[in-house]
Amino acid sequence: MTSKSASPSAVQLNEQGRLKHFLTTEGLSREILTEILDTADSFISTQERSVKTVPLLRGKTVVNLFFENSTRTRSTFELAAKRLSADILNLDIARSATSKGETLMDTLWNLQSMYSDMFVVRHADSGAAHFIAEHVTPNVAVINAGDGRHAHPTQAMLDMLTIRREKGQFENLTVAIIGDILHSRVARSQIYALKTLGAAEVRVIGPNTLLPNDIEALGVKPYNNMKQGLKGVDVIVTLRLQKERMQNALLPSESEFYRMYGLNTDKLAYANPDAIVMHPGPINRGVEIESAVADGPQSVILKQVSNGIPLRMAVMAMAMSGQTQEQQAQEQQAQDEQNSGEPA
Amino acid sequence: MKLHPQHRIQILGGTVIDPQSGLHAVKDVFIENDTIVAIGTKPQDFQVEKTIDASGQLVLPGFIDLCAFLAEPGFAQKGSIASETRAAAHNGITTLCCAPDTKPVIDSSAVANLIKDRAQQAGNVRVLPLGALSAGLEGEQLSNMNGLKEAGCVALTNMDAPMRDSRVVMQCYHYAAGVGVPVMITPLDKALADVGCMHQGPTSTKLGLAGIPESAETVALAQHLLLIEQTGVKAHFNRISSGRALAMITDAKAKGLNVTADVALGNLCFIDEDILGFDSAMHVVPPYRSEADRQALLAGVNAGELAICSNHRPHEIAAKMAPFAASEAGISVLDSFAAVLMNLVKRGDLTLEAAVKAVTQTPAAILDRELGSLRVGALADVVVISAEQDVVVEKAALQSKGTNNPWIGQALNGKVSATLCAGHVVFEAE
Repeated sequence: MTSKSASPSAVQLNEQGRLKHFLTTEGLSREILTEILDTADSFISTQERSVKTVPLLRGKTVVNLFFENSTRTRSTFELAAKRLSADILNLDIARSATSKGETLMDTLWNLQSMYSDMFVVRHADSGAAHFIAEHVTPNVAVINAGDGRHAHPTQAMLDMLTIRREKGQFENLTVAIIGDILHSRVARSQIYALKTLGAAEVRVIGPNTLLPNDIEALGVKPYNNMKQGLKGVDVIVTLRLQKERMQNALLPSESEFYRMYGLNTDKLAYANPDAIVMHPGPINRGVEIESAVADGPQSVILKQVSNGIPLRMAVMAMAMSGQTQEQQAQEQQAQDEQNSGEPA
Repeated sequence: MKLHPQHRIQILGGTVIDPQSGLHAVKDVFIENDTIVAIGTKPQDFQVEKTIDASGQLVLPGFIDLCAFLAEPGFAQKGSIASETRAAAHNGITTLCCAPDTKPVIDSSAVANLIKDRAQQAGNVRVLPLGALSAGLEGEQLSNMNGLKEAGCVALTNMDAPMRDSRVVMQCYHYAAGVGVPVMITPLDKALADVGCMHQGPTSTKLGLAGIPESAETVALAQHLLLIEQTGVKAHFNRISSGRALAMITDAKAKGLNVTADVALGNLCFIDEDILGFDSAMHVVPPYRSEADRQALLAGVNAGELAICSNHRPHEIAAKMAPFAASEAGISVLDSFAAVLMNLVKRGDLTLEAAVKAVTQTPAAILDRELGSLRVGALADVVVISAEQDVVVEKAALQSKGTNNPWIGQALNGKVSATLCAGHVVFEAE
């Protein structure tokens, strides 16, 4: 009697199994994730040229819909859209219609009526991008730029791109993600991507109050201790610790967190000598990571930032292509039905 | 429900099941005015005015729903007493307890009387209001419990609205015990539930939705059990959601505490994994929990420990058109109540006897009313149902204004062909 156990992932594929939205890394095949990385790799070369634009999204309108504040992610999406030759509209939601009582749906339907082709959505509610793609504007390609605690798939994939460029592959890698897993959409998306791409082992390290219950259900091993958790690790991901976590009985203090889980040179030595250090940013120096490590030889944090643009270009180009493919198929089908209905 | 002076109905050839008297046999049922006057042999001088052919069908006591939200007064966009009780009558329900979280809240005899009047006008089912346990459901001050009792409120509840602290809870129970009015409790520790919007477990972790741990129910339940024992109030646990809560209640009963419990029909059908895909239709209070919880609750019904209520909560489309946590909680149940119940029997989740008992004898005992039985001299609340008949839940056929029916489009089984409330035919299939 259960209604439907469809994973959130099903909505993002068209009938040919191609991406038409990009909502989550969960449920996507290894082929699609690899295609995203390969496409991003091909764009990296264009980023090194003096003329950085390619015409893949010429004539298309991309709307940045950020219901939560963000400077960096929004800027990289804007740059990515511009380098694909799209027209881009940045909507400051906090100061626009929704604060006048217009519902989320009405805002989106209005934008759709302006012939938008793609929405880049960040929203505080888990499932928001999925909701928009499934129920509100299914014919607009939706790119999830972060929804609540659920997913941040472009961040996760730019991290995968960085790992692959540094390590060459995923098969033999042990990856540890440190810090506030409970509230982290980045961690969830990374875990799904790493498992699908074949990482040997994924660990999460943090105090119990910042590790979700049942995290093992995602196929990862939880650790409370850095020495044990980092042993034999090839890739270390440190997560940003929000200041508000010191309230609401989640953590005693920044200093205790730093003592136990802050990544400094001593703790880094528990990992493999060639381990790379990643951080989705923005960094709290001295809270989750020591400056010597963040700026040190093992850090690839700035490479992650650079990889953000080609990766987002790749995802936008693929989703737009899948969306167009589906709409053409629908038009063709409508045409066929009309023709078959006509007298010979 | 005005009756003709000489009102006689016979229901012929059906399989009559009455858990209270243990009857389970093919019998004819004879009704005069509002009373069952014979089962089996037609009385002498019984001049039939109406015959219902029940051959091949079940003849059951009218169903009793311990908790449904009728949306009136205050929520015209979601439903009305007329629309929601019509859906109930179409599904064999003859007695329905309506939730007090209307606008205004049922915390005065005026609102209770208004609801009873409107229900009377609608003439579909017997509506028994549940009154507010605290004034305005605000959890701060006692409601006018005696006035509510005199206005016909069968129990007092704070529904899902939190009480300020355990002292207010204790004072409410203490006072209610003196007034002699039962309380209905949906145990939930507000702090442990926090901002949760679904069962805490692997699915909430995967979806990144804030979870409501099982302990939010059981910790509160333990406290309520102690305060019930201390105050001696007559108490019923409404809409429990976990197997552990059921075990605690069973233990308390074994130790001599006089408490009862029910489960919402939806919690016998759905589990947390049904939310994968962020289906806002599955956003409900209390939440759908694990498959193990669902199995434990089904076992509780099969063992006769639990009544089944609808926990009907109709919504307009817009209420569900939002990201999961931002959507309004609840499902619309009354339109599918009988078919979903019969489908649980067909699937082997419930025995037929247990399913019938859980919506007749058990809730009647909880309400301490002479209802829910088919025997000579009983009030003629009767449902005739074709239990095996396939039905598809169709949107166009919904009687409730609620569009949030999770069974729309699904093939179920169990079609009500007639519902009689106090001898009056309140629904008859064409």
